[in-house]
Amino acid sequence: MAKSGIRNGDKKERLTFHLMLLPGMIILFIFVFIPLVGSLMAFQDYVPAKGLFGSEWVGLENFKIIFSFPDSVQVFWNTLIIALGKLVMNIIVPVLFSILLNELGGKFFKRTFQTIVYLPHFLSWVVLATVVTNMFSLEGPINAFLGFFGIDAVQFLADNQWFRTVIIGTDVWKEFGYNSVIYLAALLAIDPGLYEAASIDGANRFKQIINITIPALLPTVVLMTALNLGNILNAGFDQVFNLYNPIVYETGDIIDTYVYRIGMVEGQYSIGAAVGLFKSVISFILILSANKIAKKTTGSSIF
Amino acid sequence: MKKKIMKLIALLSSATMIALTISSCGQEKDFTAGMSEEEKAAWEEAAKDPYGKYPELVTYTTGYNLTNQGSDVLANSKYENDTPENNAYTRYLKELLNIQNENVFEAVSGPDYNQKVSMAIASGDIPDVMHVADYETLVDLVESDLIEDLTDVYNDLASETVKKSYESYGEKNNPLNTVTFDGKIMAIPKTQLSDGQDFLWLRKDWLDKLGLQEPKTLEDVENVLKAFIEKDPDGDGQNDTMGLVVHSEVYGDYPNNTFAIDNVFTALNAYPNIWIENEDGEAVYGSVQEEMKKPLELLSRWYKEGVIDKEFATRTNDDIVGLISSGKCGAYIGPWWSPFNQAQTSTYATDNAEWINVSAPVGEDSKINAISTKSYAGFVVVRKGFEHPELAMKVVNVNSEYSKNDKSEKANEIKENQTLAYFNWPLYCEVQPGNNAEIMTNNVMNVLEGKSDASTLTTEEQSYLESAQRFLKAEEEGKKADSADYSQYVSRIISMKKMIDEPANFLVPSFFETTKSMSTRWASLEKMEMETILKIITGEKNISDFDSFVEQWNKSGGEVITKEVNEAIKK
Repeated sequence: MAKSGIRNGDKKERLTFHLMLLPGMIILFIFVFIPLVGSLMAFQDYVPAKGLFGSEWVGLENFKIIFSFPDSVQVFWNTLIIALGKLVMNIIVPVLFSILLNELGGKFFKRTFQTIVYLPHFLSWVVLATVVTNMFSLEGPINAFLGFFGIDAVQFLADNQWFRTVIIGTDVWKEFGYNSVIYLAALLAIDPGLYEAASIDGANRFKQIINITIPALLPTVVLMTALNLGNILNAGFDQVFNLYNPIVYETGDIIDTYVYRIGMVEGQYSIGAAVGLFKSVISFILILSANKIAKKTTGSSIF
Repeated sequence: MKKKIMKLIALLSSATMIALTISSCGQEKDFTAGMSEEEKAAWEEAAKDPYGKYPELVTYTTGYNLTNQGSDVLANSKYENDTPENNAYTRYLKELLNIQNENVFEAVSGPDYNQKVSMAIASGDIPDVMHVADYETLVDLVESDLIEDLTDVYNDLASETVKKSYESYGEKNNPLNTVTFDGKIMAIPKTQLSDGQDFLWLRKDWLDKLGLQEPKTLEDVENVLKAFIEKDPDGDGQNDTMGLVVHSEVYGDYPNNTFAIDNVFTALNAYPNIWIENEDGEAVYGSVQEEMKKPLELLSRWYKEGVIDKEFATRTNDDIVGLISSGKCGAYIGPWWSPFNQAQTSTYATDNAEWINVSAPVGEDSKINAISTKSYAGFVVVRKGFEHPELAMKVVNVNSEYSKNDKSEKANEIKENQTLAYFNWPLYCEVQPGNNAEIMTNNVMNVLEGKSDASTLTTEEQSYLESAQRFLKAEEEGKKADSADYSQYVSRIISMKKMIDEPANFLVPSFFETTKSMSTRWASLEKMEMETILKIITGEKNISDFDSFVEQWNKSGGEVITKEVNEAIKK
């Protein structure tokens, strides 16, 4: 203890903090660490009745099977493209939104807007999928709107050119209100003195945004990106699962839906676990490197 | 140091104690221990009689299968407060056999229930008796030695009706063959009644209005569908009706997949999604045969011309039901029990729809080409070590024989519940002869036509008779019948009669189960298949792409699986 340079007098206080941490740690242990043991399945020919310790060990056989699937590569790319699209758009849109909202005068408007865009976050994709399907159907409002401009109706959810766009777009629509909260908080932390000084120097609103707001937001943006990079292989199971169909497998089938069909529907637990483990390893590497980069470029990092 | 050793000893001893308690839990206690000879004899006697009542209440754990009707059907009836542990069925069994179920889980039949079974097996702790739906699960249970050998139980206790019913499927297709492992009967198979063929369901009121004949061939069907689209059959002056609705999976699970259009394929001699025998006597997969091209070409033309729903690929089942219920669509393909579907009951109630089933589209010999289903549909298994393994057989006896001939007040409750159709028997297993549905309809028809007396009917048949009478009475009085009566009458009498009068050609698939490579490869092959089929129909791919799909299919594991299937058949 003494080595880390903390005085003895703090010990009691530290104990209190540790106790406060305890419930969280217990939950983490039960729901994260214990299930980790199940990853062993990835190296077994797992038979549920024989259990984790009775099933036969097969080494890397399951991984070989996964990479021999003809559609593995396609599924991997779909996941990456959709997830990357979401990652980028889920930063750009909320940042823009919070800057615009910040520029808006009047507390009432600000609050109302914020609440309204925040709402879809609380709806599950099972519910929203019905809404989205109807919105984008041949007779839906989107196609009706396009019809005004003489554009032929498009089956957005059964069209490989559009499916990813719809997936990314609807996800951003659902989440940007929620995601903007953290940026709005960061905006509040900017010293108003800076703006005053800038306006005295003759900078207009636009210049103030470029030279004060954006640089002030940058550390938060980098931090959020780094945090989200760990999710790069999570393209959103519940959303895609509720919206896709075989016609758009080509562009919309992601690792999670694929694993669901193979692992859960066909009962191949080992293969499901192998894909899950593979995903985790990639995410782990990505989050580590993102953290390093964040530390180097902005000085702030998660750990 | 000393302290550490003491700690270690304490830890070790507590660990052994835990281990001991756990292991002692695993041992089965003999339930007859401490009983007098008399009591023992009473128990033994009860165990040997197919309908023997136990001297004391026997509580058994199980998983409860519910139907997908939803508990709403019980609302406003006297069964409103019934639960899966206390309903007409369980009360009946309790009175008759002195047994009571305790449900470890309750779920709607199908994926929900199966998932719960998988979870129970995964935890290694299965209920005393339960129904498992698929063959692989049964094999799993047998291989992991979790279930009891029921050979003696079956031989000693199975009722005559049960034994005869199994035999009615013929020696080769006897459901018992499936559950026999090394000469031991490991489960009691639930029989699968022949589901018959799929029919084209049409709105007769629309046909009549447009002056159309009942279609037979594919061309007839096309003409009717086009008339339904163009000639405003609902007469509201708006161009808002459509042709044929299609299940997003197009085909499969014949004939249970309502809205799937297998019949269009079979009419042109293509048999997708099943294993069929080719000219050389080898098993091949139907979806990758040359015969598929014709129906695919036809469907892609129908799609282009709007004869089939343009958005079928993105529709859920509920969406389709919605299209029919709202009176936009008056044609779909479905099994004989389709009148139970909300699509029909709601249009009957609100839109004055009159639905009929038509044998169309037919093949070359003017008959529908249909696919046989397997003779078994799930199995009842008994946990290894359960004290009363015969209990399962007794319940199956009651389900399949006793309750059907029971004319008492208690049995009435069951009859009523069968009409309401929310609960099933606690052990979801009824053993019936293959063509039982037809036999029942014939019996009911005979009574309706005055050829025989109602007292000759079984309780189940009586419930159908009463439904039919209530329906006919309501119609006569110019009122709308209750939707449950509508469903029973139109499916049991009208549609079943068509099944008896216009028999179909049945193709028996050469293989029903899965092989080793299938379990790892099938999802991927199925994806390839569905993607190609849908893209060809919607015109995104050309029919010539079918050949490259077949090649790719074979390369990606199809060839290996075909070999395995042929080996499995020879065994």
